[in-house]
Amino acid sequence: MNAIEIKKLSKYFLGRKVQAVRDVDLEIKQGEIFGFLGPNGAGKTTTIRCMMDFVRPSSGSIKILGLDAQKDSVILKSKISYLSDTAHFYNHWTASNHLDFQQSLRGKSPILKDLIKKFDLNAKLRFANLSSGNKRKLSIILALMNEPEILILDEPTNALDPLLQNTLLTYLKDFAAAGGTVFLSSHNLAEVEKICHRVGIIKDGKLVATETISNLKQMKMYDVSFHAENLDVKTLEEKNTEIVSNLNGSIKLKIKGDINPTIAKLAKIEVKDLEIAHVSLEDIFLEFYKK
Amino acid sequence: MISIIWTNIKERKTSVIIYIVISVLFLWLYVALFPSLQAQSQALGAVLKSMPEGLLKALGSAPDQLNNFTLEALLGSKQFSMTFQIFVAILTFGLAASDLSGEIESGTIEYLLSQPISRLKFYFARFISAFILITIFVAASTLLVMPLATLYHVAYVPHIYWELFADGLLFSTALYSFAYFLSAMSSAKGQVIGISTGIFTVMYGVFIVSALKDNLDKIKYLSLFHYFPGEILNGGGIDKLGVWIFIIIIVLFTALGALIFKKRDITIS
Repeated sequence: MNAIEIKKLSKYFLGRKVQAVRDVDLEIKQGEIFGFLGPNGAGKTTTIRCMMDFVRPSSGSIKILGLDAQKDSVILKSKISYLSDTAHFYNHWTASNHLDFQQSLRGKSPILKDLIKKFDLNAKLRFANLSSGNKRKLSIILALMNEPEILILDEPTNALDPLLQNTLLTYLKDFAAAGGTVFLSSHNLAEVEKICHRVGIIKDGKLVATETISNLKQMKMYDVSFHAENLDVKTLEEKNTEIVSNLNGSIKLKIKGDINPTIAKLAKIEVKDLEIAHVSLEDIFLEFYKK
Repeated sequence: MISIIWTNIKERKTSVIIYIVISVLFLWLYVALFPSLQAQSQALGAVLKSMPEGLLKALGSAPDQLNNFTLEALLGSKQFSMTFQIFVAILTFGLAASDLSGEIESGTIEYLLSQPISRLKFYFARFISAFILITIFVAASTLLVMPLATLYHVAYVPHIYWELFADGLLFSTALYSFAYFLSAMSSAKGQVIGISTGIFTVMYGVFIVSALKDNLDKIKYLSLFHYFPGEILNGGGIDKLGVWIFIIIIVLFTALGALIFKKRDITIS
């Protein structure tokens, strides 16, 4: 069953002058952790704001748990929790005031004490006096405390130390394993690689790719560098091989996909200082942005 | 909804208490001074008669005001000619701007709208909480005259203060409704306060000009200052046209604001 279905979502601002997202189609299954990737201004936050009914789509539809994100927004918000990329709360309220206020609207949280302990939050301090990490902890606890069915998280690990990042990522994995769905927007490709089942890459408001992490890994690229005397580099040319530089026998290649044909060719010649670097998800992500 | 109303009342209570204290202190001052002023009323009456009639009218006074110098006449020329209206304007414009555009400006609106409550419920919850606070302020600024007058053994006419309360509440709610409508459209608190204050100032200017220039007398109907307090403090009762105008402003701008707030995109930076 699809937990989230976005069809032909477009959003323009200032009439039709500014295009934020265009014809975005997404289907996210229940129990899935979906990573939404893209640089600033690509349309990630606008897509999320349409899902949360903060902004209204110019065209297209969003269904969450089978309900319309706009018409059924009140019912949906009792099933969804949202974590904004920046913590905007009341400076003069304590963390505890925020937690109490939310409980007055969404009911008492049976797991609140555990979450406070797990994320080590001092709930007695005023929001203005919390460190950026503690502000983030409060946002996370507010998002998790009412045990939603869907979590929509915008840059969730921002400002968290590595230990708490790990705690949150483990929590999200367990949440998804128990049937919860996570829609996660992030710049942190390492964390996306660690926990997401699938990712969507958005560029200039358009979804350019939706892949499973394993498929993306198959698209991995390699940086190969070595030194070889009197080599005609043209002999190394392959469909998936780009000769980046050739300076006095110091050669750099970029290989997308299968590296074996190149390795076989290099095995037949005398090379020195051979280095093969496995590029990260980040390089793949950047590759999408070159297109 | 009740939680939003109650939280907002708690949130704004300090500023409202400050306005109430200042307003009541002014009232106290006038009531306390009244016995000695009454004793000097004949001399003051001569001074008033020497002033231009138009100016006195604009200030809510009349040349023969001191012929029958009452507490109501004193309050009509002092507290309720401008002071009360300024307090109400500052209070209502501040509340309206904070209630919607202030939340958008600070980004807290996302936290509020991510809760399971419809935009309309949120909109009316904030309206109701502001109405409760305004009612408390207006009640304190009008009805407390009676116990203060009793304290200083000053004669007063009770029904005048009840009328003042009712009409003052309508006047204040009308100001709030207009500013709240602006707040529903805008994402900047300063913009709401600026536009509301600008219109308020223009209306006061219109009222003054209409009083000073006989040929421009009719433009007084364009100013809310004409309808409140009107002739209440002279014992003339509430201006019925004013009541209708206040009610129309309240209903019209509150409904328009609701419609806009329900439909608009809410984006924070």
